[in-house]
Amino acid sequence: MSRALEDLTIDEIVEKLESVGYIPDRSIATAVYLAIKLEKPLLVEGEPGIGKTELAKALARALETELIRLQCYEGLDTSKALYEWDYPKQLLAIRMLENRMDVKEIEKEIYSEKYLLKRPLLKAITWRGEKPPILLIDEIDRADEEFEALLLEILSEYQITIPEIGTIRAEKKPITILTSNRTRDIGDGLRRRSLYLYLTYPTKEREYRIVKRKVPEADDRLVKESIAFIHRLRRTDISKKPGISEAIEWVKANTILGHRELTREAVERTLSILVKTSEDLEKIDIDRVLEESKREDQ
Amino acid sequence: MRELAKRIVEFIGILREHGIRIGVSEEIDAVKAAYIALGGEEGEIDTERLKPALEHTLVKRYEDLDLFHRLYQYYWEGARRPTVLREARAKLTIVDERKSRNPTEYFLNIYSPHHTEGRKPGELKLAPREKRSISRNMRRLLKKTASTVEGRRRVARSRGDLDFKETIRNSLKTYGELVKLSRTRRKKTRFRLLILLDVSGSMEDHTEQILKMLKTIKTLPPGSYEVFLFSTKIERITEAVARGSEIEKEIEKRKIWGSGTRIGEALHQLTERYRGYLTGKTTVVIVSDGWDLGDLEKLDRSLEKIKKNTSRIIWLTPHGHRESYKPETACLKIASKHIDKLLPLKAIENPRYIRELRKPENKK
Repeated sequence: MSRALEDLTIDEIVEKLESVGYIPDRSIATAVYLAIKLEKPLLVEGEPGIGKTELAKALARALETELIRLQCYEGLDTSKALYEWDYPKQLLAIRMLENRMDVKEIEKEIYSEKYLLKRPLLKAITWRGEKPPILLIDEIDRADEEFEALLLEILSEYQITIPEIGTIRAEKKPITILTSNRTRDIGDGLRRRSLYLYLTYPTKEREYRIVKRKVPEADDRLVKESIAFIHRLRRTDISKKPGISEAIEWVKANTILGHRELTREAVERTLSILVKTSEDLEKIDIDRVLEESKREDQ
Repeated sequence: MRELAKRIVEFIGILREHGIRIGVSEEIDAVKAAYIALGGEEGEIDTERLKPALEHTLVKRYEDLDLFHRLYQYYWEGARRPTVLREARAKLTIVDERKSRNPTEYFLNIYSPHHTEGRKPGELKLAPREKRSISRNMRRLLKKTASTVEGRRRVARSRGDLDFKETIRNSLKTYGELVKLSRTRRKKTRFRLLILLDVSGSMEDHTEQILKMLKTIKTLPPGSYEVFLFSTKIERITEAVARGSEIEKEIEKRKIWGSGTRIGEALHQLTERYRGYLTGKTTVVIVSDGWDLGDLEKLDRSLEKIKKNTSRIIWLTPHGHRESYKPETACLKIASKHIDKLLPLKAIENPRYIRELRKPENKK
């Protein structure tokens, strides 16, 4: 790990993340700090749209390093996550070399790193940059349990064994962030090997800063009233509660439509950005939520 | 700083006592993280800086976060000496409201929406034959409710349809020679059973059947089930069930057995705290007599949510095997709107009832 990263303090992490537009609270910054210091993966869980993936992206920008992303899905296997041999290229090489080399030499040649298609995990382990990369294993809950078992080995040792080549060890352990929306329970093995961060909805003040940073052109009053409305809305009995990303989109939409404050008309025109199902839309009493949010904000 | 390590170890002991599972490697991580977070400072411990360090290394489940915060407050921010600590821990248990065994009061208590401290579930020794029989039936239930064939295809080792594209692609590994034919077949989606067992006072007469279920669930394939106990609150006990040994002691620790009944509140907690377990590939099995004098509106809303997010709901009631039985409790009347099948609790021992079930639909 490079000297610069080792020397970072929690306050510096806060500062760096803020400089790239991600406003962390102390707990998030501490979790990132410990993941760097202890060289352990960080498992981030929380509601959708709360900024789990964004944390990894922002960290890569903040630390000025590469982001290597592995998007998980059902059926993800080693050939998509780790490596695969480039068979057409190997075939071509055999044809070209068969008159110049003997069998052993050809074998050595075609099973070298040159003919290896590196997938995200291997790419992160063989990373040769100045700073360790950020390895984002996104939505791990979507992958099968078998894939989790594969990750256990890789994330504890940061090494991969390729039978034809041997064991490849990471020179710089990547800073690994795993995210999960909790659609399936992640096994205890992976949890034990990772640090854990649960992201909740931010406080009004933090959300105000986040939205303001993302939509600087928005009117102050509009942002404050929108945040208060969203916070009140999250306490209602709707099934899909709006996350931070929806809050940003909502304020952006209202700004584009020229609203400088949150009126009933503004809410009516744009509520579908916040609330995504017709059942939830029916449940919301706009006047009441608006009135209560304004009262609470005073 | 050695004192700090000692105190962290003592604190971890308290977390473990309260059911938070922490391994030795996590213990080491916590001590390291504490030293890093405090920057090697001597003297008074900065509990504000220590808290996230311990939280991120020791708590690995969202469900444990609240308990961690409460215990942290007691141990690090309030009481310090062991005597006060014991008092602090005592504060976490709730006073037993059910001392009297007067029949009227007893009746009101077992159907009460109030929380009581909870009792021992008693012990049950299952004869191997009976265990095998229930286990077979649980597997039948899992098979019937928990697997379906969907449209997506997956690579098959031997049987299945020929996958021409994959065969050609694979032939490149053998430099164009067709050595092996690739086959695929429709993917079987594995569903999961989410079993909710009512262990409130009103279910006291059916303790034996509940314990029988708890002791046989672990024979199902790992990862195919989640188990929760509920009375006035809800507790996840999947790990304890999977370990299998001393399940009665584990339950006793949770202080939930034989408490009052608040099904609506318990299910509401399920939809909030354990939302992640409610997926389109989950079949919910509720075992309850449906006696609830709590918030029925909450029950209605919670069941609606569960129904919306899961594949289906099966309700097992202890009296369902009687010919004359009708679901007439207020709770069951509401539940009937949302549940897919009402079965007698005896279904866990009698395969006849399980045969009646239809395969589930896959809700993505």
